[in-house]
Amino acid sequence: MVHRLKRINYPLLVGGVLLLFVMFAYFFPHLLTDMDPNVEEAAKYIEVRRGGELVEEYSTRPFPPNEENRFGSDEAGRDLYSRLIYGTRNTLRVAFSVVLFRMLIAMPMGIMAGMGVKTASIVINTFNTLFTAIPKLLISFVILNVAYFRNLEMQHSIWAFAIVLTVVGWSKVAALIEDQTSRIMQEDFIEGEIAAGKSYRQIGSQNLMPHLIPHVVSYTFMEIGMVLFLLAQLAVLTVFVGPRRIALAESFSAGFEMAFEPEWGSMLARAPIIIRSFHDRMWLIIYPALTFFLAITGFNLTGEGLRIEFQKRSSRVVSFIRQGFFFFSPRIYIEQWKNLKTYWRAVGVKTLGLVAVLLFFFFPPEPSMVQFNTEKAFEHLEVLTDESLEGRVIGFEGGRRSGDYIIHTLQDYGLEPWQGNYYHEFPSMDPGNTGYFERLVVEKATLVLEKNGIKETFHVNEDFFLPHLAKSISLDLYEGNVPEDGYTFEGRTITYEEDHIEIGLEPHIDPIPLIKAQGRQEVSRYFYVQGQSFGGSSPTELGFPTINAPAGVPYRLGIIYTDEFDDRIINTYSHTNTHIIPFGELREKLENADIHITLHLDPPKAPDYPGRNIMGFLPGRNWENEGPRDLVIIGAPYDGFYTGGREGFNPALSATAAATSLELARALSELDEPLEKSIMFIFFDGEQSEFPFRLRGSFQYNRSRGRFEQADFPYTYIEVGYTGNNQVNRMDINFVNGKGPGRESYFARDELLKRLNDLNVDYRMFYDNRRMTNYSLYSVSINSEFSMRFGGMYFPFMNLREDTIDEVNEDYMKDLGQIILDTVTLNPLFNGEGM
Amino acid sequence: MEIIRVENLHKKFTLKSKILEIPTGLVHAVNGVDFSIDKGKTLGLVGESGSGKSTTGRLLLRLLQPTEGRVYLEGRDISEIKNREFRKIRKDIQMVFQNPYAVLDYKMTIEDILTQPLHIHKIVHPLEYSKEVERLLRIVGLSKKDRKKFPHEFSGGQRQRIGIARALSTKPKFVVCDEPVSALDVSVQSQIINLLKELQEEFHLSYLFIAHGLNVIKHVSDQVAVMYLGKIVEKGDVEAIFQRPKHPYTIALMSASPIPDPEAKRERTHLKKEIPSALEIPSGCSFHNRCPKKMDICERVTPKLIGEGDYQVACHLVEGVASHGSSA
Amino acid sequence: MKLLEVKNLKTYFFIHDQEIPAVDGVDLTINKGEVVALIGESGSGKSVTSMSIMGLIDSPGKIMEGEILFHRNELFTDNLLKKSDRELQGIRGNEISMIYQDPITSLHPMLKVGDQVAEVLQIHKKMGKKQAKREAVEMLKRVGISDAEQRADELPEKFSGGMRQRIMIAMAMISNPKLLIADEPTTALDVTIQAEILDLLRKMGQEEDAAILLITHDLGVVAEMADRVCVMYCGKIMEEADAKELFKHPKNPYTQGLMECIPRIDDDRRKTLQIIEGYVPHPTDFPKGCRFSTRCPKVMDRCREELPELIEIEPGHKVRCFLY
Repeated sequence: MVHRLKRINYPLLVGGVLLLFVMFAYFFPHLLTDMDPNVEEAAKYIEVRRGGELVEEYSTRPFPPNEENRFGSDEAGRDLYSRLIYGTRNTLRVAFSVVLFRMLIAMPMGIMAGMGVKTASIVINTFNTLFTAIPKLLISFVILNVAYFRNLEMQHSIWAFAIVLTVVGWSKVAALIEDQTSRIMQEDFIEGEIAAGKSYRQIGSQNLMPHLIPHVVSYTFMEIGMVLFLLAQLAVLTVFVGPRRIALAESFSAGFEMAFEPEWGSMLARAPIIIRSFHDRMWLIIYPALTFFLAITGFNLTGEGLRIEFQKRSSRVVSFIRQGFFFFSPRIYIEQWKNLKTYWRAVGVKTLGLVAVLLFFFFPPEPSMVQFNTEKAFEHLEVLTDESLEGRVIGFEGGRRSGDYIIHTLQDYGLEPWQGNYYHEFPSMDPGNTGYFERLVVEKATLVLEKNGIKETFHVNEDFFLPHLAKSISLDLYEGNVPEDGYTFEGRTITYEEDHIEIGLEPHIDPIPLIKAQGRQEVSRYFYVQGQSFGGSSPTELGFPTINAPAGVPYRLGIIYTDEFDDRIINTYSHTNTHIIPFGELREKLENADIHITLHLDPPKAPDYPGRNIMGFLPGRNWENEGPRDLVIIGAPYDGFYTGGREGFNPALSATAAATSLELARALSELDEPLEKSIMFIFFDGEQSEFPFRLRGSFQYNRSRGRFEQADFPYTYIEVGYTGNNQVNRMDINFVNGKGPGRESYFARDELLKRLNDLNVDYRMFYDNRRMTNYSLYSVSINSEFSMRFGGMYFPFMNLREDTIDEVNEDYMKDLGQIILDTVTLNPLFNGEGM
Repeated sequence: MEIIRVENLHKKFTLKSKILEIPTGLVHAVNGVDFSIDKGKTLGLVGESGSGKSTTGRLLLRLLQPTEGRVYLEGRDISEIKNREFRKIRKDIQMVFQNPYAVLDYKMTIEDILTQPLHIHKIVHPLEYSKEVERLLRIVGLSKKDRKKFPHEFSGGQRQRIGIARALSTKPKFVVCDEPVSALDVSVQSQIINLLKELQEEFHLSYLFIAHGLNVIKHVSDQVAVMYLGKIVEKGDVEAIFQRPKHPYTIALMSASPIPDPEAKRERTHLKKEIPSALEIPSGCSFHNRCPKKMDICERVTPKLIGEGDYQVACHLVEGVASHGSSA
Repeated sequence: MKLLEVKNLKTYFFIHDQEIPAVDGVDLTINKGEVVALIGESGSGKSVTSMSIMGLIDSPGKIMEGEILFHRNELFTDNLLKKSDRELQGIRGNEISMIYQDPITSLHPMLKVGDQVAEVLQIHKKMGKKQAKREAVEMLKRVGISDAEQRADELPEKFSGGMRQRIMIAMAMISNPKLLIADEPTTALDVTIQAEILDLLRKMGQEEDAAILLITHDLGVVAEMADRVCVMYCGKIMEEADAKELFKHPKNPYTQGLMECIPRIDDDRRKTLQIIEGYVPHPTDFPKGCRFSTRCPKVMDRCREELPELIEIEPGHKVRCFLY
């Protein structure tokens, strides 16, 4: 009995058990925890044990270990336990990569050196001597701390670590391999092999390897242990893989770098600080450190145990492998084909095997449940970009008709109204408090130049833009006080030495002396044109109007000299003053002095209709359930810029989101079986408004009573973004966590990435990236579990002359549509099949 | 027909110190050895430690590089052939080693061990490997069930059979047997000796049989060469050597060999001193400091191997009979 | 007069869960001044027997039963198996000495040979350093080391194999032991040296009136040295007789086979050698019944089932075989 106990390979047993845990966490993290590692909770009620009793307390992050967070949370309020579990994959990936690279170099070098190649031996020795003098840790730290490395995405970060840590560390294990190889080469049987006629290369592969493999396996495991150790050390010095973001100054320590992805090292990065000041935050350090310890021990022990195991018996495994080479040799296979009669059995088996392998590798990914039909989407696009719609401006005829089209289409597809309505209306005009930057439509305006008796007439949108109209005009509009014959501005040009031309004009006021501009008075330099702030000095800018006019002379019209907008559509917004941007010929003419200018605006049009958010509902199987019902909201903007009067302009990109979304509606409505979750399509009006947000459909949705609440309809939000043109190859995807519990968004994202790879989509992913989050995504995501936008929120070439329906990237739209469809139908977290 | 001919074979080892590898001494392990072996015949090479007999065997197989000398295989000079070419010749010259366990890769099955030479030298078609292995096992008296086993699962005698099987797998012309039975149990030695003799007859093999025991040499050899400190001191037909040995060393060797018979007559020739270290080979006749019949000339002049026909001796006594006292 | 009596010695080894009966019921008697040869092949148990006598058996080996009676003088008899380690230390190297096969590893490489020999006297005879040294040098002369005084200050590496063996003999004999156990003392030596060493051993034994237990596998060595011979096979004694008697009339088929299959220098070279079929069985695989039954040319059914006893068929000649 004692002997039996003695025979148990304890290192292997203990190590194996530890590794089992670790690898389980690697492959099946979702089975070990159902909390999301990325969800941040700022404060909540927790249940803790105090004096043996379960007590409820209010706590802010970081939460101590409590009933919900077994290991407590980190400083951002993210559950520590699930972060450690999910982090296994990332941390181990680094360790595995490093060890793989090290072995790839160390093995050939070590074997060559052990078999007598002097150069290899010298190289190994040099590296070893070098890195005995220079501490590996220091070098790695210095290199990896460089800003470039700190800001890499996860994948690239892993590569960077792998390369740096390989360069500093491969020589040690190479020396071990060299030693072992030369020891094996000195055994007697090598002489026998030489006598048999083998070359050194053959001896290397046929005799050396089976003897070396056990040692190499053991070294590999121990290397993994050592690399993990090194990673832990680097982490304490705040060097770890993965992208970071600056933690905001909220209720916890401000301004430090926080890791986004879960990873063990990143959790140790705050250790030095935490240890010093917060004795009652030990869980933040202990658990990550413990995890490292267990993993390292597991690998080390397993390495040791394997070594013992391999040396114990004569390995039938090795002979089996050798036989395997014979079996799999292609030459033999061909020979056997030639002698098919004798060897039909072997050939049969091998061929079957070959077919199975091919199938496995080229196995097509799960087919999409439903296909996105780009042609149909383009049909919608054609309709929406029809010239008669004049750009689908919110509240105007074109906008209204495009809305009608969408409603009818949804009805045709069989989508249901929501709470009796297919749309929800909101005011399309609202000067509010500031009255700035509201959108106006000016259909007709003329500029008449007169000099020396010669008159020339120029027209808006053909020869000049009218980016800003004075706020007083929009107030008039709102109050219904627009004069019947519109507004007229009159004035004269003056030329100064500095080429400044200014006009001071006023409606209904007698021409007043021009205001001399003394040089350039730069007071307010920001103008919003088409949602872009336009400012800064450019040589083509001339005649900036000053806001501070002499007392008693309110200034009302300015001319902006620039050619940046020649090829673009700009909409008109209300502003402090009125401005025009002349093009080409007109611009040239205005550079002369002493020209009499008359600007006449027809009454600007008020929107005839309110804004409309359009909704269509596709009930799922869960619609009949009691209690909260999960929902998927698919949103898309459908309005655009006023194109009336500008020839040669018919921008299509701004309509792509709606077109795509309509096709999505069709595809999903035609499923044989409804999905588990219900789907709500929302088409937002007024998204082209920059400010005020009040005019945006998404804003209106948010403050409406119809807004979906977590309690009743826990939802995920997918926003359909704009399709790029033919120069854009990568789809932007923005992933945003909601403020809700964020169930399993981590896993959803994993599935999404897999699907993107299956479909071979070229993409760029952003997480919680404010810069890439547009307003609608932001506002609707707040109450969601998590949200995503597929496609662009803005392209610099939108509304340019080149923005035509022919330039719309069909492949991009297809990818966009397809990935949304697949996500909704196949991704278990969306289609309600769950995990 | 001559299978192997060796002319003036020399092997010098330079001993180097551990640090800086400065040469500290020279060992002249093989010091001008000549012999030839006919097809189907066995030359027994006998000597004690330091005689150079094992080194000679290894030189023939180029497991060590000769410092000087020529080797002819079937009339062809193979001394200068490059290593890559020589690998092909290896199938013709094989070796049975002394310690079969040390010489077989203990991580390979018997099947692998026997298949690999077949593969390297393309002895048979790959699809025939299995059959050939069976055949080899049968020849050396092992069962084909043994092919999947590992060397350590066999006894010493069986392992030597495997070693012999491996040597034969390439269908060699010439086999060097380096003390093939010294490491075996007494009750098994005779089996192996018989086996080697059978195989020689069946496959027309030629042997260089190296041993330190005269009793074994007598049974297997047709010709015998006695080596001492790197030189052959006596060479000839086996009967002649055993019945009328001429060189004092040979005589001493024979008298020292124990006879398993308490009543046998023993005339012991007592040799003075011990075998000198190979680093300090005595001048002149290298045996002179131990020889009971030493003469003055022995200290100064190295005797040459001379004689009629096949029988040759290197001793001043033998030549001195003719030319008394004069230097050769 | 009896010096050492081994009665029913059983030494087993326990390796990897298996029980290996290395020495399986061995009886041996050595008389004063006698040379007894213990002959056997690998796995016979001859070395283990000698180690058991010296008390050098350690885990995984264990002496299961038996008695080793050492009659150190007319009055006192000790069962060595019942002695404590300390007591055995006093006997080892003192009254019972041992020399081994490989002198290279048996001598301390860093101590001068003279000191190593002298050490024996210092430990066992409580002699002072200087005197011990003197006696050591004397002993070295006796064993045939020329220039003993100078050479006593050299390290073992400066000596050849035969010389080292002589030094070992000096170390063993200097304490005036009653019994010298020589475990394959000449196996590692050249033939010409072997003879010298054997002569030396015999001479020392006679001069010091010490009995010699000679362990070997070489029948030639036995023929030269031994008064009596025990033949061991697989842990058991197969035959025991006077040397002359054994060589003339071997009774056990194993002994017969051994004698016939060894190539002799006075043989007719053309004759095909006799062989013993089969192989020495592995200790884990001993056959049921007579251990030699798998190879015996005269095997009967009974041999495979039952184990024969060691019977004295003639005065002084014992055999273990069903033929008798």
